[in-house]
Amino acid sequence: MSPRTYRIGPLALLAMLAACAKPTTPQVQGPLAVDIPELCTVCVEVLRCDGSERHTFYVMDEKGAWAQVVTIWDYFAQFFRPKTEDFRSLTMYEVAADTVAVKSRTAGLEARLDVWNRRIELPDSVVEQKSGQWAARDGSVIGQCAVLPRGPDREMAKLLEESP
Amino acid sequence: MTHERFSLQLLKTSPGKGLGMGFVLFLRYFYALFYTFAAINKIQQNYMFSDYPLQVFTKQLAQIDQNGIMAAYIKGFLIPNYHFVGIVVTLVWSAVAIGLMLGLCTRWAGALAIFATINIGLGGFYDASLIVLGLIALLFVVLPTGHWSGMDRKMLAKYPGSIWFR
Repeated sequence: MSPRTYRIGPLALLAMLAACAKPTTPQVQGPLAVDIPELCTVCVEVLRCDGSERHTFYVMDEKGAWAQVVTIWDYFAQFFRPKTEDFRSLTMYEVAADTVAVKSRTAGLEARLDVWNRRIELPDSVVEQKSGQWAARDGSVIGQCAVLPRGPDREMAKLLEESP
Repeated sequence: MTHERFSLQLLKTSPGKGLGMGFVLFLRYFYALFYTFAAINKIQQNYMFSDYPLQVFTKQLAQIDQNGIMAAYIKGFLIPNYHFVGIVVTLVWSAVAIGLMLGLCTRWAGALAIFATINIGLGGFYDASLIVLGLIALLFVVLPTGHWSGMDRKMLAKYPGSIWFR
């Protein structure tokens, strides 16, 4: 490696990062009905979604240790290009209308946080964070979602996990 | 006491040692850039003279367990003193960035980075990445990286015995 390469290497890396363009559309701004901090790696997010026919809890787990370490790069890269998406491991609980009695559960799923458009893409539906609207993948409206506040969220996640 | 200087020649004559030193210096410059960007961000947000830190702390408080030590730290110290904290944060971030980038007072810059990391954790932003950042900063305290590459070597020659440039 020549001295020139040795000096230019880090600059080339920065230039490559800077070249990563932002999305062309402006980011959807708050306030958000469903506010999920994309850089919080130790947050458990619990979405309660209610429709006329379905009542579902979506529980997004906190990230693993290595995924937490990787956020160092996320913070660094944000100076050059904003974070546009994130992924969370997800468990889905179908519950009865008036209770949290679990009718079915599906673990090992993944949710995509579309940070730029402020949408949460779930395996079976999409939540618009701005309005909280809960829609099926085909666009038909199912109902409305809300995110549980800190404290009650972990209690609910535990309750759902332990329910038969 | 004089320490070896990092050079391409060292990489050729002692590859193991050279690679080790080179890796730590890479971490130092990466860390310096990280803090430089963070300091620029703080200045752009007018962190020192606006109520922006108050907004950040209030938002963060809503995101964490209200009964934990972090919430107590935010409610009891950060929010009541947000002006003072905003000034300290901006100055500390800037000092770490300059120190590590120039290799000037490098060990002290590393110590300040550890102080900053602990406070980020106490401020409710704790996760495993802070352990890694803290350990990397510890390297800059323990190792004479400002002598491998940076101004500490020249400054110590000019001011022998100074604790700032060791």
